[in-house]
Amino acid sequence: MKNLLLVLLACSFFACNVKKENKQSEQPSKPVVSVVNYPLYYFTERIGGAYIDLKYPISEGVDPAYWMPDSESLSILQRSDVLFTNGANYAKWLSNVSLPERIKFNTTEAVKDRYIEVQEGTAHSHGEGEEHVHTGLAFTTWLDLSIAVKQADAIKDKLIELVPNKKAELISNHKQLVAELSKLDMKLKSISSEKVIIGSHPVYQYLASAYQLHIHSVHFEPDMMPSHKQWHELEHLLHHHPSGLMIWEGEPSDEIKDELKKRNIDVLVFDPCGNVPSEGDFLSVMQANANSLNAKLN
Amino acid sequence: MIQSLYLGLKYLQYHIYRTIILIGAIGVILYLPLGLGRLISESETQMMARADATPLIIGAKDNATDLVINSIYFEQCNVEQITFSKANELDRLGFGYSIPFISVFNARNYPIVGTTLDYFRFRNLDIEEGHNLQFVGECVLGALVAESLNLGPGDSLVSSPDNFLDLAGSYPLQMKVVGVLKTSNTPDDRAVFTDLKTNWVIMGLGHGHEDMTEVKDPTLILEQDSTSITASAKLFIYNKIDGEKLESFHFHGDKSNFPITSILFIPDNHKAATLLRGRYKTDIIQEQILIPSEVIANLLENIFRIKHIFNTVFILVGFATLLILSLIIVLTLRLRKKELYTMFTIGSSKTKTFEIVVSELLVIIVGSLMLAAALYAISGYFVESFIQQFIL
Repeated sequence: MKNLLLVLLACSFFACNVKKENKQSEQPSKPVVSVVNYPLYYFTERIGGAYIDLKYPISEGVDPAYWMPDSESLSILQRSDVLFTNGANYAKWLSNVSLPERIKFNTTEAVKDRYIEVQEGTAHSHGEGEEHVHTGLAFTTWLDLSIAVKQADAIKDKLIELVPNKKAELISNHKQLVAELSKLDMKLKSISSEKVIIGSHPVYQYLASAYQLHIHSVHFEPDMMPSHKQWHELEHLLHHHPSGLMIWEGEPSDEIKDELKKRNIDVLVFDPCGNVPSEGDFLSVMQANANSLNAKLN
Repeated sequence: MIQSLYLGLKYLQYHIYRTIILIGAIGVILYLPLGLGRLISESETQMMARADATPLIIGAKDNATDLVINSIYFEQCNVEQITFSKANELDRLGFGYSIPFISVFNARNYPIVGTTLDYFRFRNLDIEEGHNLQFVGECVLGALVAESLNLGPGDSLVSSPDNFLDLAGSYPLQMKVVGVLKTSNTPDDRAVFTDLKTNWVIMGLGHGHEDMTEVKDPTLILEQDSTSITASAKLFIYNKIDGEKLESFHFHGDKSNFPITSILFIPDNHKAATLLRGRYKTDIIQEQILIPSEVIANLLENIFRIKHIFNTVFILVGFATLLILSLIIVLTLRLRKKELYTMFTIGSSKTKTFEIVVSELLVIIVGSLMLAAALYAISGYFVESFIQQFIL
C-alpha cells in the first residue's frame, strides 16, 4: 500500500513537471538581434534588451570595424532575425560573408547624406587597368551624438516591428536614452575651440564635423612605437597645422608620451568606444571623453 | 464458350510469333497516346509547380519568357541585367522581401547561381552534407551536381571562363565546396549556388591581391609617388579566396550598381503583391514585374499545342492499324477456309466457328491492353526522372 502511494505521488509529480515544461515551451521565443559594434549593442540593450535575445559575438580588445568572424560566429549572425549594422561601410567583413539581405538593417540609412568621404590608401592601378583610389567613408558615426540619436531612433523603430506588444516600454526606454545622448551632445557642442588637434588615428571625422573641432590625423597606434617615417609625417603635419594636443583612442605608451613631450604635445584620450570598454559603459565613457576634451580645450 | 476460348488459345499458341507481333503492335498503338498524355500532363504539373511556388519576378523589360526561365529553371539565356540597388529599393517599399539573383556563369556545364541565403529558406532547401554558404568564394552544390561531378564538402570547383579567347574577361575562380543540398527534384538539384558577391568576383568586379604598399618585388611596381602606385600586370590576382586572402578581397565601385539578372520578390500578402504590381504599370519604372505562373502557363500552352498534333497522328495511326488488323483477320480467315470447313463438316455450328474466331480476337485485344497498361505503369515509374533529366 505504501509503495503504491509512493508510485502515485511520483507519477503526479512527473505529470506536474511535464505540464510545467509544456507551459514553458509554449512561451514564444524572443527574436534574435545581432549588432556589429558596441555602441549599437548599448543602444539596443538599453531600448529593448529585456525583450530580445541580443547577440554580440565580438570579443573584448578587438576593433569591431576590422573584425573577421569565424565560422561559428557567422552561424550565430546568420540565424538572427535582425542584424543592426552601422552603415558607412563599417565592418568590412560584411562584404566578404554571406548573410540574408532581409536581416541587415542599416541604422544610419536615414542620415546617409551626412556620411563623410575619406581616401583609403594610395591611388593605384593594376597593370593597364585604370588608376583608382579606394575611397571610403569615415565610419565612427556615433561620435556625432546627433547621428547616434538617429541610430537609436532606427533601432527603436525596428524593435517595435519585432516586438510590437512591448511598444510602450520600447518608446519609454528610447526616450530616456535619447535624453541622455542629447544632453551629452549639448555638452560637446558647448566645447568649441579654435585649437588645432592632432588625431592619432583617422577616426574622429564625425567628432570634428559635429562639434567644430580642428582635427588633423596621422596613423599611430597607442601600443606601437611609430616608425621614423610616421614621426616625420607628424612633423610635416605640425609644420602646416601647429598643435600642442594629440587625441588618442587609448592611453599611449610612456615611450610615445616622451617623444610627444619632446615636441610639446600633450595627450588627450578620447575613446571612440567601438568595443566594450574595460570599465563603465558607452555613456560613461563618452561622458569621460567630453570631460577630458573640455578640460584640455578650455 | 470455354471450349471456344480453349480452341482459340490453342490456335494462337500454334501461331505464337504472329500473335506476339499483333499484341505488340496494338499494345504500343494503345499505349502511345496515353503515355505521351501522361508525360505532357506531368511536365505541365512539375513546371507549373515551380512557377506557382515563385510569387513574383522582377527584371529588365526584355523577353519575359527568357527572364522567367532563367530565374526559375536556371537556363542561361541572354537576359538583360539590372542593378542590385533595385532589390534594396523593393525592400524599402515594405511589401515583402526580395531575393536578388544572378545566373550568368557555369562550372563544368552546371549553372552558377549567385543569390542570398534567403533563397535557400524560401525554397526550403536543406543541407545534406557540410554547411551553407558563409564566406565569399564558397559554393553549395545541388544534389545532382555533387553526384555527377563526385564532389563534396572540402573539394573545389573552378568556374568556367565565358570565353577562352577573352583573356581580360571573367576570372575563373576556384570555389570551395562547403555543402551539398538534399535532393529536391527541382532545377535546384542541377545548380551550383554561391553568394552574389562570389559571382561579382568571377565577373571581375572584385578581387584580392597583395597590399601594394607592401610589395617586396620591385618589378611589380611600374610607378610610385606619394599618392599613387601603378602595378605591373605581373601583380598576382588571387584566383581563390581563403584564409588571409579573404580579407584582401575588395570590390571596386558601388555594390548597389553591380549587376543581377532578376529579383524574386516574396510579398507579405496578396494585397502587397497587387500594390507592387500596380507600381510597375507606369512607364517611369524601367523594369517589368512578372507572375511566373502566368508566363509559364502561356509558354506551356504554346509548347503543348503539339499534343493535339500528336493526338491526331495517333488517331490516324490507330485507324491504319485497325484496317491492317481487319485485313489480317480477313486474310487469316481466307487461309483458314479449309480448316473452318473441316470444323463445319465434323459438326461445329456456324455460331461456334464464329465464337472461336471472336475468342482469338478477344485474347489478342486483352493481351494488347495488358501490354499497354504495363508500359503505362513502367513509364509512370520513370516519368519524374525523365522530366527532371530532359524537360526541366
